Amino acid sequence: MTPLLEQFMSEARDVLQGISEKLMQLEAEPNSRETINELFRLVHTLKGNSGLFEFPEMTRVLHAGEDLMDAVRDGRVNYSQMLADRLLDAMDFVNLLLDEIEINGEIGTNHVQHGLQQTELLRQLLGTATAKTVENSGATVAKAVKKIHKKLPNMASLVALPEAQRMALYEQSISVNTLHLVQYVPEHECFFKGEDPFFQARQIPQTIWHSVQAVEPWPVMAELDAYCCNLEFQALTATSPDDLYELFRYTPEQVSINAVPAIVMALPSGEPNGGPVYGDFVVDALALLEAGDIAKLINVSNTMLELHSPNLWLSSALRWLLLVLKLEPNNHSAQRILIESFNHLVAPNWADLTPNVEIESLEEVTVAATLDTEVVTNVATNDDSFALNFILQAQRQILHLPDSDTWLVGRLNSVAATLTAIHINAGRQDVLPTLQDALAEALTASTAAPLLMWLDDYAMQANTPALNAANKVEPGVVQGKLVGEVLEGASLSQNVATRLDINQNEASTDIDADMKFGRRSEDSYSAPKTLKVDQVKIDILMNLIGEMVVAKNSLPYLAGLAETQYGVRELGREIKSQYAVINRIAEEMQDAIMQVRMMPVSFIFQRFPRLVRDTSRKLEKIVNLVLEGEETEADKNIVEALADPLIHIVRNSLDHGLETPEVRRATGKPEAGKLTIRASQESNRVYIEISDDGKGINPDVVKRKAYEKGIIDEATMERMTDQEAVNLVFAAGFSTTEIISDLSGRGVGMDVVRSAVEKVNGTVSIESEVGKGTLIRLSLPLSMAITNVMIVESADQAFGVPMGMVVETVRVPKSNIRTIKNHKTMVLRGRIIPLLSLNDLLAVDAPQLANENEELAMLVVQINNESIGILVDEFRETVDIILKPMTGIIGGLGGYSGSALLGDGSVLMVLNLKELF
Amino acid sequence: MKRILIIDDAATVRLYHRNILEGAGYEVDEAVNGIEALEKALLTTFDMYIVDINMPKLDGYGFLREIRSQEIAQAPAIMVSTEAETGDQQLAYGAGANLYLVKPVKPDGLLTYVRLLIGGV
Amino acid sequence: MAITYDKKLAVFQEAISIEEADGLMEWLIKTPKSKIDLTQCQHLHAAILQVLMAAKPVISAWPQDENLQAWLASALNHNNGE
Repeated sequence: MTPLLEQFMSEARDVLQGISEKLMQLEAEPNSRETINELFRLVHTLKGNSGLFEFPEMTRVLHAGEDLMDAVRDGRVNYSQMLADRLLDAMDFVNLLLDEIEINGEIGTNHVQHGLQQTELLRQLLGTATAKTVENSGATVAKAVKKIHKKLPNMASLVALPEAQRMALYEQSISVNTLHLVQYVPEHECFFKGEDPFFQARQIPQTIWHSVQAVEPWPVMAELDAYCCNLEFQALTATSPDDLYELFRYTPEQVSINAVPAIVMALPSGEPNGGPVYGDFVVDALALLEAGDIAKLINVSNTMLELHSPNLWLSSALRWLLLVLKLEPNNHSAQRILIESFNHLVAPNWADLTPNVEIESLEEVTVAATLDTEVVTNVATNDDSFALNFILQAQRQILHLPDSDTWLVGRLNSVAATLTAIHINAGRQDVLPTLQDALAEALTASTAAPLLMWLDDYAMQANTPALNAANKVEPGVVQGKLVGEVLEGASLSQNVATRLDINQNEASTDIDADMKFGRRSEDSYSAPKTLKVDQVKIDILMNLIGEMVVAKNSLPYLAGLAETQYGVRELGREIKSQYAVINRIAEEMQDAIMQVRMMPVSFIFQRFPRLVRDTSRKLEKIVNLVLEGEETEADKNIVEALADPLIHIVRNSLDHGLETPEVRRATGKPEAGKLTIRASQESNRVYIEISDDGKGINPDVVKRKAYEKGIIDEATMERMTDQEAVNLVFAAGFSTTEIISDLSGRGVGMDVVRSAVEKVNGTVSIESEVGKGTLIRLSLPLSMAITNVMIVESADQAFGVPMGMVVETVRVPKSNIRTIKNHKTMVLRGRIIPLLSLNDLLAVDAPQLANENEELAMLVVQINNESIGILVDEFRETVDIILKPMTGIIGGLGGYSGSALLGDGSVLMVLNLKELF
Repeated sequence: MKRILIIDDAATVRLYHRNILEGAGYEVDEAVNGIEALEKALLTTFDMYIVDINMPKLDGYGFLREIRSQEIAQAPAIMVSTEAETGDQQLAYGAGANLYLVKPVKPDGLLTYVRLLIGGV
Repeated sequence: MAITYDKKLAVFQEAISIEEADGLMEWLIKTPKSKIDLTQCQHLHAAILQVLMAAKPVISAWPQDENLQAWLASALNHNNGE
């Protein structure tokens, strides 16, 4: 990806987010001018940006969106729910295209049709009645969606193709409709966009018939505007529409592609031989056709065919009749027309028979351009004379503007500066004195006229009067020259610029260099305050500091070694004090890097307005969403890990918590439900609360459900408190609604939320009151800072266990282990502890190894307020690591909370014991 | 070296123009809206301004009117817009632009105009 | 030059770009009964095409390029009653 494309992608995502936010705001206050203007500007910006690349589908949709917002801004179209919906859909489409660009670097051609649909949906809202009319200086440009009704063209010239070829095409087209008519009407201004529509038309593959016609009748030669495209191209082709759409993907609105019936191929040809003398045959054949006696009709036709030379027109018509009877036995009208053609020996005009083809296209009509102003064209050219002419023309237009503007002086000066510049650059300094005269006169008289006259008399004429030769202003009286004197005060910026040049050329002297330097630092542009950094770079920093933290830990050991082993106590102390310094720096550095990784939770909050809006509408509920504390920050990994659980909780609230307006009214609540998402920070934890004022969770219902599903037994159900019952929603396999709605997902319950939160060392709790509402509280660490883990060995592998879970480590004589009901247990300080072997948990088929004293290593861990003994092969040291969540294929692997890089470069897998049971 | 000020609220467009102009050896500065552009124009003499129309705070027309009416700068200004509408062109010229081009301006085309107007590097 | 003008005959060679449009128009206006030789023509810009369509000069030789000839025949062959 080029830096420009990267810039585009990142800006585009921001803008899309902005658009979606503004639309939400507009929903709350549909009349806010400020919001509407801002929305227009955002769509406009994005459209402009996309135009820099070859993303025609994106640009087209955005262009329609821009036109629509422009209309809303001007009050021609009113804001409506539907408008917001369609714009949001269109932006989703743009987002989809962005995703594709992100992956493939370009947009596939399969979006053309979808893009056209989106465009059309937006254009519909603009309506035909609101055709935009800009009136200015006599030139009126009207844009309107216009429906053109068009018959199939007369394709009589197809007859030039050999009959056999046409018959083959006919046959082929009967089975699979392969024939398509492409009608291509390029826009008038297309030449100025560097297009060559004829070249484009010639790219249509497998054409069998062509036509080029004038859209408007040709004027007399002298009045012809060769630069205004007045052509319509048509071609009959055996290419698939998909390929054709791809070919015209930049201008699909100028093209219509329609299937053509195979019958158009049936054009008899050959020697006419004296005129129509087959009256009897025609009458008989029509009668047979009428009677439905096709067998006899075929018979008669075959006889006729044998009687005549195959070169005759008649024989050709018979062959076609026989072929149509065979391949299209039910197309009686075509058969009739073929038979009737025997009367006059003229090939049928199938266009009369086939239904009208409706062609819809966006037509731009230039109504009139009376003044000497050209309709603006983008003259992208590297032809100097062409460009020069364009510049001269522009200055002429500027000078023709009314003299009344207060900044006329500035304008005249700038025109003079421009004219001076182009003449200097063209090596025509000779005309400059007269230009200065004209400027002086113009400034004195406060009118552009003298400069206009100068333009007519002295300005160089570019050799190709390409654009607008007919529009030259009548040469006036030469006044500029008569004034004579050069006015000293008439400053021309080119002079300034030239002086500057000299300064810079002589900048070899120190003084000049200093001056230049001073000037530059003075106006150096303010550096941006934020930096966008690739996440990979931060990850590298994270890894490095991780290694640093591990590596520094070897220093105390080294100090000890110095003291005990080598007996250099002084050195030992010295190392220790150095260690303290390094330790402090490492910790601060770690903090600083963590800070870089912090991002506001608004990153995920910003999705909710749209989510709540769409979901509540689908459920026919009214919901007010309140977001608080969006600026609260947490580590990027934590914030990202929050996204899915939060969406799930919010959907649950909308789906199951908040009631429909009717129910709410009946229970005396306001119709609109309230959903609050609040983020806050307390010491080193981030809290996210999602609360609604819905119907709450009924503990009795939950208890019963849990019992029915076998999650709890009857005795447990009896003695459960209400809070305990509510907590059951987090139990695996629990879901309160029987009907799985498409919103909360396929029966995925809150247990998934809990495990996702626990993966990042967070906790989740729930409070609920029947009829009042539910509050779900997530508590998360501020950052995925360094975790202290104990390394244990099992089956020749090292694993990490978070020290937070480890209560103690004990060596247990094998003989102390008892098996009760198939479960290993042991008594530790008067309590029975269940034992689990790590090999069993990890499905490794090996017994745990004991040491030479026949003792097993046991890790006592605390899980859900219960002590459990985990048997491993060996304990090792504890280390500080930076836990990285697992991504990619192994991301879905249960039982591990992540991996970490150790000081020696090996990878340590850190166990998630909760998931292992 | 010739200096050109690019005024556009869209970072992508600024980068696009910057790439073209710097590639040809011109010195480039940027402003994200009319106000910032005015500040820069007051401090520095630019050889040319490339101005977008639609911008927050102060749009392209406003910027041009300011530099022309207060005689801050006379250097050629090219207004770039996405719309080929006559209305915009008239407004642009009225405000003080010397040339009106439609976005996206192809690199060759832009350089041709810049070279003709302010010369080579 | 992609177009060579020779009294009443204009010979088109290879690809004719839009830059030729003005010259061609001028020549067609001041040269009645002009003829065009397209034998060596590979392509002509749509602007050139429409100048030819409007001026209706006699095509004294059609292009060797078959695809171009097929298209031009429908545009410029006035004798066929297209």
